[in-house]
Amino acid sequence: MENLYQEIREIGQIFAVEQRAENLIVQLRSQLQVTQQKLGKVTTKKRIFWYDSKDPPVTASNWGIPNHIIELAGGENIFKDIQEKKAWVTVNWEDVIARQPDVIVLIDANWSSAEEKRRLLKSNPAYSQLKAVQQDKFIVIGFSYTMPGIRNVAGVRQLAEALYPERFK
Amino acid sequence: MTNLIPKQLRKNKQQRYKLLMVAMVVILLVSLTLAVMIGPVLIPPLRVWQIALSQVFPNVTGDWTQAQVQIVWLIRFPRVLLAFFVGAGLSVVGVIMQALVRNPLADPFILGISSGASVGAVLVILFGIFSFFGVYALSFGAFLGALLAFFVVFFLARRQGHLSSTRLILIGVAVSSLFEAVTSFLAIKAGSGEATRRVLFWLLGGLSGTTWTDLILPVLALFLGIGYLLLQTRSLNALLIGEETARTLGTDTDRFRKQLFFVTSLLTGVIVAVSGVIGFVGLMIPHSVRFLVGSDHRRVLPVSLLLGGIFLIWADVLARTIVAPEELPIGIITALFGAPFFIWLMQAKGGGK
Repeated sequence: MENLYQEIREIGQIFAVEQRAENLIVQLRSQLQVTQQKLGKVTTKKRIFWYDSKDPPVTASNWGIPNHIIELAGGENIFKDIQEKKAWVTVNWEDVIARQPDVIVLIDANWSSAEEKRRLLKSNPAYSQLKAVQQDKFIVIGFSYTMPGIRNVAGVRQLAEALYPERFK
Repeated sequence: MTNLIPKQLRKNKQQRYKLLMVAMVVILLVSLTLAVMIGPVLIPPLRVWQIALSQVFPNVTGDWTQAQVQIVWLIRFPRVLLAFFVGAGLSVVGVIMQALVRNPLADPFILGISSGASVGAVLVILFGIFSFFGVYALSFGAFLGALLAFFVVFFLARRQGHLSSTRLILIGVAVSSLFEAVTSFLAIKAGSGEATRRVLFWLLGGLSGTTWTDLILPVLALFLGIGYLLLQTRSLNALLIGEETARTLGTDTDRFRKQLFFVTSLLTGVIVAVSGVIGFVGLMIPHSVRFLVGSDHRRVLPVSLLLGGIFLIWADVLARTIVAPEELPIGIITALFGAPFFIWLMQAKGGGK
Protein backbone atom coordinates (compact mmCIF):
# COMPACT_ATOMS: atom_id res chain seq x y z
CA MET A 1 0.00 0.00 0.00
CA GLU A 2 2.87 2.34 0.71
CA ASN A 3 3.92 2.05 -2.93
CA LEU A 4 0.42 3.02 -3.92
CA TYR A 5 0.43 6.09 -1.69
CA GLN A 6 3.83 7.06 -3.03
CA GLU A 7 2.55 6.80 -6.59
CA ILE A 8 -0.42 8.98 -5.77
CA ARG A 9 1.95 11.49 -4.24
CA GLU A 10 4.12 11.49 -7.36
CA ILE A 11 1.16 11.94 -9.67
CA GLY A 12 0.13 14.84 -7.45
CA GLN A 13 3.54 16.39 -7.95
CA ILE A 14 3.51 15.86 -11.69
CA PHE A 15 0.12 17.46 -12.14
CA ALA A 16 0.73 20.09 -9.43
CA VAL A 17 -2.20 18.93 -7.34
CA GLU A 18 -0.20 17.91 -4.28
CA GLN A 19 -2.89 18.85 -1.83
CA ARG A 20 -5.52 16.70 -3.53
CA ALA A 21 -3.06 13.84 -3.62
CA GLU A 22 -2.40 14.13 0.10
CA ASN A 23 -6.12 14.31 0.82
CA LEU A 24 -6.68 11.17 -1.21
CA ILE A 25 -3.91 9.36 0.63
CA VAL A 26 -5.34 10.37 3.99
CA GLN A 27 -8.77 9.21 2.87
CA LEU A 28 -7.46 5.84 1.67
CA ARG A 29 -5.42 5.35 4.81
CA SER A 30 -8.36 5.98 7.05
CA GLN A 31 -10.62 3.69 5.01
CA LEU A 32 -8.05 0.94 5.34
CA GLN A 33 -7.72 1.63 9.04
CA VAL A 34 -11.47 1.33 9.54
CA THR A 35 -11.42 -2.02 7.80
CA GLN A 36 -8.49 -3.19 9.91
CA GLN A 37 -10.17 -2.08 13.12
CA LYS A 38 -13.41 -3.82 12.36
CA LEU A 39 -11.52 -6.91 11.31
CA GLY A 40 -9.60 -7.01 14.53
CA LYS A 41 -7.31 -9.90 15.19
CA VAL A 42 -7.89 -12.96 13.05
CA THR A 43 -6.65 -16.10 14.70
CA THR A 44 -7.81 -18.72 12.22
CA LYS A 45 -7.28 -17.26 8.79
CA LYS A 46 -9.56 -18.49 6.05
CA ARG A 47 -7.60 -20.26 3.34
CA ILE A 48 -8.21 -18.69 -0.04
CA PHE A 49 -7.82 -19.83 -3.62
CA TRP A 50 -7.50 -16.68 -5.70
CA TYR A 51 -8.91 -17.86 -9.02
CA ASP A 52 -7.93 -15.55 -11.85
CA SER A 53 -7.70 -17.15 -15.29
CA LYS A 54 -9.81 -20.19 -16.05
CA ASP A 55 -7.65 -22.96 -17.49
CA PRO A 56 -4.80 -23.59 -16.85
CA PRO A 57 -5.66 -21.95 -13.53
CA VAL A 58 -3.87 -18.72 -12.73
CA THR A 59 -3.56 -17.56 -9.16
CA ALA A 60 -1.77 -15.02 -7.01
CA SER A 61 1.78 -15.62 -5.90
CA ASN A 62 3.41 -14.32 -2.72
CA TRP A 63 4.49 -11.17 -4.51
CA GLY A 64 2.25 -8.38 -5.68
CA ILE A 65 -1.05 -6.77 -4.93
CA PRO A 66 -3.50 -9.71 -4.86
CA ASN A 67 -1.64 -11.50 -2.09
CA HIS A 68 -1.34 -8.21 -0.22
CA ILE A 69 -5.09 -7.70 -0.45
CA ILE A 70 -5.66 -11.20 0.87
CA GLU A 71 -3.38 -10.65 3.83
CA LEU A 72 -4.87 -7.26 4.69
CA ALA A 73 -8.34 -8.79 4.57
CA GLY A 74 -7.32 -11.41 7.09
CA GLY A 75 -7.06 -14.34 4.72
CA GLU A 76 -4.32 -16.75 3.73
CA ASN A 77 -3.37 -17.39 0.11
CA ILE A 78 -3.01 -21.15 -0.34
CA PHE A 79 -0.27 -20.47 -2.86
CA LYS A 80 1.67 -17.97 -0.81
CA ASP A 81 4.70 -20.25 -0.95
CA ILE A 82 5.26 -19.26 -4.59
CA GLN A 83 8.00 -16.68 -4.36
CA GLU A 84 8.12 -15.71 -8.04
CA LYS A 85 8.64 -12.04 -8.77
CA LYS A 86 5.40 -11.83 -10.68
CA ALA A 87 1.98 -11.35 -9.25
CA TRP A 88 0.10 -13.99 -11.21
CA VAL A 89 1.33 -17.55 -11.73
CA THR A 90 -0.06 -20.57 -13.55
CA VAL A 91 -0.60 -23.55 -11.28
CA ASN A 92 -1.80 -27.10 -11.39
CA TRP A 93 -5.31 -28.23 -10.44
CA GLU A 94 -3.89 -30.99 -8.30
CA ASP A 95 -2.29 -28.45 -6.03
CA VAL A 96 -5.58 -26.65 -5.64
CA ILE A 97 -7.23 -29.89 -4.58
CA ALA A 98 -4.37 -30.91 -2.33
CA ARG A 99 -4.38 -27.54 -0.56
CA GLN A 100 -8.11 -27.60 0.18
CA PRO A 101 -9.10 -23.93 0.21
CA ASP A 102 -11.93 -22.77 2.49
CA VAL A 103 -13.03 -20.05 0.13
CA ILE A 104 -12.60 -19.43 -3.59
CA VAL A 105 -12.27 -15.85 -4.80
CA LEU A 106 -13.52 -15.61 -8.38
CA ILE A 107 -11.98 -12.71 -10.22
CA ASP A 108 -14.40 -11.12 -12.65
CA ALA A 109 -12.73 -9.88 -15.84
CA ASN A 110 -13.91 -9.36 -19.43
CA TRP A 111 -11.78 -12.18 -20.73
CA SER A 112 -12.52 -14.54 -17.90
CA SER A 113 -15.79 -13.96 -16.10
CA ALA A 114 -16.53 -15.13 -12.59
CA GLU A 115 -19.56 -16.93 -13.94
CA GLU A 116 -17.67 -19.12 -16.40
CA LYS A 117 -15.17 -20.02 -13.69
CA ARG A 118 -17.96 -20.97 -11.35
CA ARG A 119 -19.46 -23.11 -14.10
CA LEU A 120 -16.18 -24.90 -14.66
CA LEU A 121 -15.73 -25.57 -10.97
CA LYS A 122 -19.23 -26.94 -10.61
CA SER A 123 -19.21 -29.07 -13.75
CA ASN A 124 -15.79 -30.68 -13.52
CA PRO A 125 -15.93 -34.08 -11.78
CA ALA A 126 -12.73 -33.42 -9.84
CA TYR A 127 -12.97 -29.79 -8.80
CA SER A 128 -16.66 -29.97 -7.95
CA GLN A 129 -15.71 -32.16 -5.02
CA LEU A 130 -13.73 -29.39 -3.37
CA LYS A 131 -15.53 -28.53 -0.16
CA ALA A 132 -15.46 -24.84 -1.03
CA VAL A 133 -17.30 -25.60 -4.28
CA GLN A 134 -19.84 -27.89 -2.64
CA GLN A 135 -20.55 -25.35 0.06
CA ASP A 136 -20.72 -22.53 -2.50
CA LYS A 137 -18.06 -20.56 -0.70
CA PHE A 138 -17.48 -18.15 -3.57
CA ILE A 139 -16.56 -14.48 -3.41
CA VAL A 140 -16.64 -12.43 -6.62
CA ILE A 141 -14.20 -9.57 -6.98
CA GLY A 142 -13.88 -7.37 -10.03
CA PHE A 143 -10.52 -7.45 -11.74
CA SER A 144 -10.03 -3.70 -11.53
CA TYR A 145 -9.90 -3.99 -7.75
CA THR A 146 -6.91 -6.29 -8.01
CA MET A 147 -4.64 -4.18 -10.15
CA PRO A 148 -2.42 -1.67 -8.32
CA GLY A 149 -4.56 1.41 -8.01
CA ILE A 150 -6.91 3.39 -5.84
CA ARG A 151 -9.50 0.63 -5.80
CA ASN A 152 -7.28 -1.71 -3.80
CA VAL A 153 -8.45 -0.34 -0.47
CA ALA A 154 -12.06 -0.88 -1.48
CA GLY A 155 -11.04 -4.35 -2.61
CA VAL A 156 -9.63 -5.13 0.82
CA ARG A 157 -12.86 -3.97 2.43
CA GLN A 158 -14.98 -6.03 0.05
CA LEU A 159 -12.95 -9.17 0.67
CA ALA A 160 -12.78 -8.72 4.43
CA GLU A 161 -16.53 -8.20 4.66
CA ALA A 162 -17.19 -11.29 2.59
CA LEU A 163 -14.77 -13.40 4.59
CA TYR A 164 -15.79 -12.34 8.10
CA PRO A 165 -19.25 -10.80 7.77
CA GLU A 166 -19.95 -11.07 11.48
CA ARG A 167 -17.21 -8.56 12.23
CA PHE A 168 -18.68 -5.91 9.99
CA LYS A 169 -22.23 -5.87 11.26
CA MET B 1 24.36 -71.61 -49.18
CA THR B 2 24.35 -67.98 -50.38
CA ASN B 3 20.58 -67.52 -50.23
CA LEU B 4 20.40 -68.77 -46.65
CA ILE B 5 22.42 -65.81 -45.36
CA PRO B 6 19.98 -63.02 -46.31
CA LYS B 7 17.17 -65.04 -44.77
CA GLN B 8 19.06 -65.26 -41.49
CA LEU B 9 19.72 -61.51 -41.53
CA ARG B 10 16.07 -60.85 -42.17
CA LYS B 11 15.12 -63.14 -39.29
CA ASN B 12 17.49 -61.31 -36.96
CA LYS B 13 16.05 -58.01 -37.99
CA GLN B 14 12.55 -59.31 -37.38
CA GLN B 15 13.51 -60.60 -33.96
CA ARG B 16 15.10 -57.28 -33.11
CA TYR B 17 11.94 -55.53 -34.18
CA LYS B 18 9.74 -57.81 -32.10
CA LEU B 19 11.99 -57.23 -29.13
CA LEU B 20 11.77 -53.51 -29.67
CA MET B 21 7.98 -53.59 -29.75
CA VAL B 22 7.76 -55.64 -26.57
CA ALA B 23 10.25 -53.34 -24.87
CA MET B 24 8.22 -50.31 -25.89
CA VAL B 25 4.97 -51.71 -24.59
CA VAL B 26 6.66 -52.43 -21.26
CA ILE B 27 8.11 -48.94 -21.17
CA LEU B 28 4.66 -47.58 -21.94
CA LEU B 29 3.06 -49.38 -18.99
CA VAL B 30 5.86 -48.29 -16.67
CA SER B 31 5.58 -44.72 -17.94
CA LEU B 32 1.82 -44.71 -17.42
CA THR B 33 2.24 -45.87 -13.84
CA LEU B 34 5.03 -43.42 -13.04
CA ALA B 35 3.24 -40.50 -14.67
CA VAL B 36 0.13 -41.10 -12.57
CA MET B 37 2.27 -41.54 -9.46
CA ILE B 38 4.14 -38.28 -9.88
CA GLY B 39 2.72 -34.98 -8.79
CA PRO B 40 2.35 -32.67 -5.79
CA VAL B 41 0.90 -35.65 -3.94
CA LEU B 42 2.96 -38.77 -4.53
CA ILE B 43 0.87 -41.92 -4.91
CA PRO B 44 2.51 -45.35 -4.56
CA PRO B 45 2.46 -47.44 -7.76
CA LEU B 46 0.29 -50.27 -6.50
CA ARG B 47 -2.28 -47.80 -5.21
CA VAL B 48 -2.50 -46.24 -8.66
CA TRP B 49 -3.71 -49.47 -10.21
CA GLN B 50 -5.84 -50.38 -7.20
CA ILE B 51 -7.72 -47.13 -7.51
CA ALA B 52 -8.06 -47.60 -11.27
CA LEU B 53 -9.46 -51.09 -10.79
CA SER B 54 -11.84 -49.92 -8.08
CA GLN B 55 -13.33 -47.36 -10.43
CA VAL B 56 -14.00 -49.99 -13.06
CA PHE B 57 -15.04 -52.78 -10.70
CA PRO B 58 -16.95 -51.15 -7.84
CA ASN B 59 -16.54 -54.03 -5.43
CA VAL B 60 -12.78 -53.57 -5.22
CA THR B 61 -12.15 -51.58 -2.06
CA GLY B 62 -9.17 -50.45 -0.10
CA ASP B 63 -7.81 -47.92 2.32
CA TRP B 64 -7.25 -44.82 0.29
CA THR B 65 -8.58 -41.33 0.78
CA GLN B 66 -11.20 -39.61 -1.34
CA ALA B 67 -8.62 -36.97 -2.26
CA GLN B 68 -6.29 -39.66 -3.62
CA VAL B 69 -9.08 -41.06 -5.78
CA GLN B 70 -9.88 -37.60 -7.09
CA ILE B 71 -6.28 -36.93 -7.94
CA VAL B 72 -5.48 -40.31 -9.47
CA TRP B 73 -8.67 -41.06 -11.30
CA LEU B 74 -10.20 -37.67 -12.08
CA ILE B 75 -7.10 -35.63 -12.78
CA ARG B 76 -4.02 -37.65 -13.56
CA PHE B 77 -5.30 -40.69 -15.44
CA PRO B 78 -7.28 -38.74 -18.05
CA ARG B 79 -4.43 -36.32 -18.50
CA VAL B 80 -1.74 -38.97 -18.88
CA LEU B 81 -3.89 -40.98 -21.28
CA LEU B 82 -4.59 -37.92 -23.39
CA ALA B 83 -0.85 -37.20 -23.44
CA PHE B 84 -0.30 -40.69 -24.84
CA PHE B 85 -2.97 -40.39 -27.52
CA VAL B 86 -1.95 -36.89 -28.56
CA GLY B 87 1.69 -37.92 -28.76
CA ALA B 88 0.80 -41.02 -30.72
CA GLY B 89 -1.49 -39.07 -33.04
CA LEU B 90 1.01 -36.31 -33.71
CA SER B 91 3.75 -38.81 -34.48
CA VAL B 92 1.63 -40.87 -36.84
CA VAL B 93 0.40 -37.76 -38.64
CA GLY B 94 4.00 -36.57 -38.87
CA VAL B 95 5.03 -39.81 -40.54
CA ILE B 96 2.18 -39.51 -43.03
CA MET B 97 2.89 -35.85 -43.75
CA GLN B 98 6.49 -36.59 -44.55
CA ALA B 99 5.34 -39.20 -47.07
CA LEU B 100 2.49 -37.08 -48.39
CA VAL B 101 4.58 -34.07 -49.34
CA ARG B 102 7.79 -36.06 -49.76
CA ASN B 103 9.66 -33.69 -47.51
CA PRO B 104 11.59 -34.66 -44.38
CA LEU B 105 10.86 -31.27 -42.83
CA ALA B 106 7.11 -31.81 -42.89
CA ASP B 107 5.13 -32.01 -39.66
CA PRO B 108 1.40 -32.15 -38.86
CA PHE B 109 1.14 -28.37 -38.92
CA ILE B 110 2.82 -27.60 -42.21
CA LEU B 111 -0.36 -27.53 -44.25
CA GLY B 112 -2.03 -24.84 -42.24
CA ILE B 113 -4.41 -26.92 -40.15
CA SER B 114 -3.02 -25.75 -36.83
CA SER B 115 -2.88 -22.14 -37.99
CA GLY B 116 -6.55 -22.28 -38.90
CA ALA B 117 -7.28 -23.80 -35.53
CA SER B 118 -5.30 -21.00 -33.87
CA VAL B 119 -7.53 -18.39 -35.43
CA GLY B 120 -10.61 -20.20 -34.14
CA ALA B 121 -9.15 -20.61 -30.68
CA VAL B 122 -8.00 -17.01 -30.43
CA LEU B 123 -11.44 -15.76 -31.44
CA VAL B 124 -12.95 -17.81 -28.63
CA ILE B 125 -10.38 -16.67 -26.07
CA LEU B 126 -10.55 -13.00 -26.97
CA PHE B 127 -14.16 -12.50 -27.97
CA GLY B 128 -15.94 -15.34 -26.25
CA ILE B 129 -17.75 -16.60 -29.35
CA PHE B 130 -19.47 -20.01 -29.18
CA SER B 131 -20.09 -19.31 -25.51
CA PHE B 132 -23.18 -21.49 -25.60
CA PHE B 133 -20.80 -24.44 -25.80
CA GLY B 134 -19.59 -23.59 -22.33
CA VAL B 135 -16.32 -25.33 -21.51
CA TYR B 136 -16.16 -26.87 -25.00
CA ALA B 137 -16.22 -23.53 -26.83
CA LEU B 138 -12.45 -23.44 -27.21
CA SER B 139 -12.18 -26.92 -28.71
CA PHE B 140 -15.09 -26.29 -31.00
CA GLY B 141 -13.67 -22.98 -32.23
CA ALA B 142 -10.28 -24.53 -32.83
CA PHE B 143 -11.72 -27.47 -34.73
CA LEU B 144 -13.87 -25.20 -36.87
CA GLY B 145 -10.80 -23.14 -37.71
CA ALA B 146 -8.92 -26.30 -38.63
CA LEU B 147 -11.75 -27.38 -40.91
CA LEU B 148 -11.77 -24.00 -42.61
CA ALA B 149 -8.03 -24.22 -43.23
CA PHE B 150 -8.45 -27.70 -44.68
CA PHE B 151 -11.05 -26.57 -47.20
CA VAL B 152 -9.08 -23.51 -48.20
CA VAL B 153 -5.88 -25.48 -48.78
CA PHE B 154 -7.67 -28.37 -50.45
CA PHE B 155 -9.48 -26.28 -53.02
CA LEU B 156 -6.54 -24.01 -53.70
CA ALA B 157 -4.07 -26.87 -54.08
CA ARG B 158 -6.23 -28.78 -56.51
CA ARG B 159 -5.61 -28.17 -60.14
CA GLN B 160 -7.82 -29.86 -62.74
CA GLY B 161 -8.94 -32.20 -60.02
CA HIS B 162 -5.40 -33.35 -59.19
CA LEU B 163 -3.46 -32.86 -55.99
CA SER B 164 0.30 -32.81 -56.40
CA SER B 165 2.70 -33.01 -53.46
CA THR B 166 4.57 -29.86 -54.41
CA ARG B 167 1.48 -27.77 -54.89
CA LEU B 168 0.06 -29.05 -51.63
CA ILE B 169 3.05 -28.06 -49.59
CA LEU B 170 3.44 -24.65 -51.21
CA ILE B 171 -0.23 -23.71 -50.83
CA GLY B 172 -0.21 -25.16 -47.33
CA VAL B 173 2.72 -23.06 -46.22
CA ALA B 174 1.18 -19.94 -47.74
CA VAL B 175 -2.20 -20.46 -46.11
CA SER B 176 -0.49 -21.31 -42.85
CA SER B 177 1.42 -18.02 -42.89
CA LEU B 178 -1.77 -16.13 -43.65
CA PHE B 179 -3.66 -17.64 -40.73
CA GLU B 180 -0.72 -17.17 -38.42
CA ALA B 181 -0.65 -13.49 -39.35
CA VAL B 182 -4.34 -13.21 -38.54
CA THR B 183 -3.77 -14.93 -35.20
CA SER B 184 -0.90 -12.60 -34.31
CA PHE B 185 -2.89 -9.56 -35.35
CA LEU B 186 -5.83 -10.58 -33.17
CA ALA B 187 -3.55 -11.36 -30.25
CA ILE B 188 -1.86 -7.98 -30.41
CA LYS B 189 -5.13 -6.11 -30.75
CA ALA B 190 -6.36 -7.97 -27.69
CA GLY B 191 -5.87 -4.91 -25.56
CA SER B 192 -4.86 -6.63 -22.35
CA GLY B 193 -1.64 -8.37 -21.43
CA GLU B 194 -3.60 -11.07 -19.68
CA ALA B 195 -5.58 -11.99 -22.80
CA THR B 196 -2.40 -12.12 -24.86
CA ARG B 197 -0.88 -14.38 -22.24
CA ARG B 198 -3.84 -16.76 -22.47
CA VAL B 199 -3.49 -16.89 -26.25
CA LEU B 200 0.21 -17.64 -25.95
CA PHE B 201 -0.43 -20.41 -23.47
CA TRP B 202 -2.93 -22.04 -25.79
CA LEU B 203 -0.62 -21.70 -28.77
CA LEU B 204 2.17 -23.48 -26.91
CA GLY B 205 -0.02 -26.40 -25.98
CA GLY B 206 -1.25 -27.83 -22.70
CA LEU B 207 -3.15 -30.73 -21.20
CA SER B 208 -4.27 -29.11 -17.97
CA GLY B 209 -7.81 -29.79 -16.85
CA THR B 210 -8.38 -32.91 -18.94
CA THR B 211 -11.41 -34.92 -17.88
CA TRP B 212 -12.62 -38.35 -18.97
CA THR B 213 -15.27 -36.83 -21.23
CA ASP B 214 -12.56 -34.81 -22.96
CA LEU B 215 -11.02 -38.09 -24.05
CA ILE B 216 -14.00 -39.58 -25.87
CA LEU B 217 -13.91 -37.72 -29.19
CA PRO B 218 -10.13 -37.54 -29.62
CA VAL B 219 -9.62 -41.19 -28.80
CA LEU B 220 -12.40 -42.22 -31.16
CA ALA B 221 -11.00 -40.07 -33.95
CA LEU B 222 -7.49 -41.33 -33.33
CA PHE B 223 -8.56 -44.97 -33.33
CA LEU B 224 -10.39 -44.57 -36.62
CA GLY B 225 -7.74 -42.41 -38.24
CA ILE B 226 -4.73 -44.42 -37.14
CA GLY B 227 -6.55 -47.64 -37.90
CA TYR B 228 -7.14 -46.49 -41.44
CA LEU B 229 -3.54 -45.36 -41.85
CA LEU B 230 -2.10 -48.61 -40.54
CA LEU B 231 -3.93 -50.38 -43.36
CA GLN B 232 -2.29 -48.15 -45.97
CA THR B 233 1.33 -49.01 -45.24
CA ARG B 234 1.91 -50.60 -48.62
CA SER B 235 0.65 -47.58 -50.51
CA LEU B 236 2.61 -45.30 -48.21
CA ASN B 237 5.82 -47.13 -48.97
CA ALA B 238 5.06 -46.86 -52.68
CA LEU B 239 4.34 -43.14 -52.38
CA LEU B 240 7.67 -42.56 -50.72
CA ILE B 241 9.57 -44.22 -53.54
CA GLY B 242 8.17 -41.98 -56.23
CA GLU B 243 5.17 -40.97 -58.25
CA GLU B 244 5.71 -43.25 -61.23
CA THR B 245 6.77 -46.27 -59.24
CA ALA B 246 3.71 -45.90 -57.04
CA ARG B 247 1.42 -45.77 -60.03
CA THR B 248 3.04 -48.83 -61.57
CA LEU B 249 2.54 -50.64 -58.30
CA GLY B 250 -1.15 -49.98 -58.55
CA THR B 251 -1.68 -47.02 -56.23
CA ASP B 252 -4.07 -44.33 -57.41
CA THR B 253 -1.70 -41.67 -56.15
CA ASP B 254 -4.01 -38.73 -56.64
CA ARG B 255 -6.97 -40.25 -54.84
CA PHE B 256 -4.68 -41.62 -52.14
CA ARG B 257 -3.14 -38.21 -51.52
CA LYS B 258 -6.57 -36.67 -51.16
CA GLN B 259 -7.57 -39.37 -48.67
CA LEU B 260 -4.37 -38.90 -46.70
CA PHE B 261 -4.75 -35.16 -46.62
CA PHE B 262 -8.31 -35.49 -45.38
CA VAL B 263 -7.52 -38.03 -42.67
CA THR B 264 -4.45 -36.19 -41.40
CA SER B 265 -6.29 -32.87 -41.36
CA LEU B 266 -9.08 -34.41 -39.34
CA LEU B 267 -6.66 -35.94 -36.86
CA THR B 268 -4.60 -32.77 -36.58
CA GLY B 269 -7.74 -30.69 -36.14
CA VAL B 270 -8.96 -32.92 -33.32
CA ILE B 271 -5.56 -32.97 -31.62
CA VAL B 272 -5.08 -29.23 -31.80
CA ALA B 273 -8.62 -28.67 -30.57
CA VAL B 274 -7.94 -30.59 -27.35
CA SER B 275 -4.34 -29.75 -26.68
CA GLY B 276 -3.25 -26.64 -28.55
CA VAL B 277 -0.27 -26.65 -30.87
CA ILE B 278 2.36 -29.02 -29.50
CA GLY B 279 5.36 -28.74 -31.72
CA PHE B 280 8.39 -30.90 -32.37
CA VAL B 281 6.72 -34.29 -31.79
CA GLY B 282 5.32 -34.67 -35.30
CA LEU B 283 8.63 -33.70 -36.85
CA MET B 284 11.26 -35.50 -34.81
CA ILE B 285 9.65 -38.70 -33.63
CA PRO B 286 9.26 -40.05 -37.19
CA HIS B 287 12.93 -39.35 -37.89
CA SER B 288 14.06 -40.87 -34.62
CA VAL B 289 12.02 -43.96 -35.36
CA ARG B 290 13.46 -44.30 -38.85
CA PHE B 291 16.93 -44.30 -37.29
CA LEU B 292 15.84 -47.25 -35.20
CA VAL B 293 13.83 -49.38 -37.60
CA GLY B 294 14.35 -48.11 -41.12
CA SER B 295 11.82 -46.55 -43.49
CA ASP B 296 9.30 -49.31 -43.97
CA HIS B 297 5.96 -47.87 -42.93
CA ARG B 298 4.80 -51.24 -41.60
CA ARG B 299 7.33 -50.69 -38.82
CA VAL B 300 7.60 -46.93 -38.70
CA LEU B 301 3.91 -46.35 -38.00
CA PRO B 302 3.45 -48.62 -34.95
CA VAL B 303 6.79 -47.66 -33.43
CA SER B 304 6.14 -43.94 -33.96
CA LEU B 305 2.79 -44.36 -32.31
CA LEU B 306 4.34 -45.88 -29.20
CA LEU B 307 7.42 -43.68 -29.05
CA GLY B 308 5.43 -40.50 -29.63
CA GLY B 309 2.95 -41.45 -26.94
CA ILE B 310 5.63 -42.29 -24.39
CA PHE B 311 7.54 -39.13 -25.22
CA LEU B 312 4.54 -36.91 -24.63
CA ILE B 313 3.61 -38.66 -21.39
CA TRP B 314 7.01 -37.69 -20.04
CA ALA B 315 6.90 -34.21 -21.54
CA ASP B 316 3.65 -33.67 -19.66
CA VAL B 317 5.17 -34.95 -16.41
CA LEU B 318 7.99 -32.45 -16.83
CA ALA B 319 5.57 -29.65 -17.72
CA ARG B 320 3.83 -30.05 -14.38
CA THR B 321 6.81 -30.81 -12.16
CA ILE B 322 9.75 -28.82 -13.40
CA VAL B 323 8.62 -25.50 -11.90
CA ALA B 324 6.08 -26.90 -9.45
CA PRO B 325 3.65 -25.73 -8.20
CA GLU B 326 3.58 -23.76 -11.40
CA GLU B 327 2.94 -25.33 -14.78
CA LEU B 328 4.68 -24.77 -18.10
CA PRO B 329 3.09 -25.14 -21.55
CA ILE B 330 3.95 -28.56 -22.90
CA GLY B 331 5.13 -27.16 -26.26
CA ILE B 332 8.09 -25.59 -24.47
CA ILE B 333 9.08 -28.90 -22.94
CA THR B 334 8.85 -30.90 -26.16
CA ALA B 335 11.21 -28.60 -27.99
CA LEU B 336 13.51 -27.89 -25.05
CA PHE B 337 14.13 -31.51 -24.20
CA GLY B 338 13.32 -33.16 -27.51
CA ALA B 339 15.74 -31.20 -29.63
CA PRO B 340 18.94 -32.09 -27.70
CA PHE B 341 17.81 -35.70 -27.57
CA PHE B 342 17.32 -35.76 -31.32
CA ILE B 343 20.68 -34.10 -31.96
CA TRP B 344 22.32 -36.72 -29.73
CA LEU B 345 20.54 -39.45 -31.64
CA MET B 346 21.79 -38.08 -34.95
CA GLN B 347 25.35 -37.93 -33.64
CA ALA B 348 25.15 -41.42 -32.21
CA LYS B 349 23.75 -43.03 -35.34
CA GLY B 350 25.81 -40.94 -37.72
CA GLY B 351 23.90 -38.95 -40.32
CA GLY B 352 20.29 -38.92 -41.42
CA LYS B 353 18.26 -40.57 -44.11
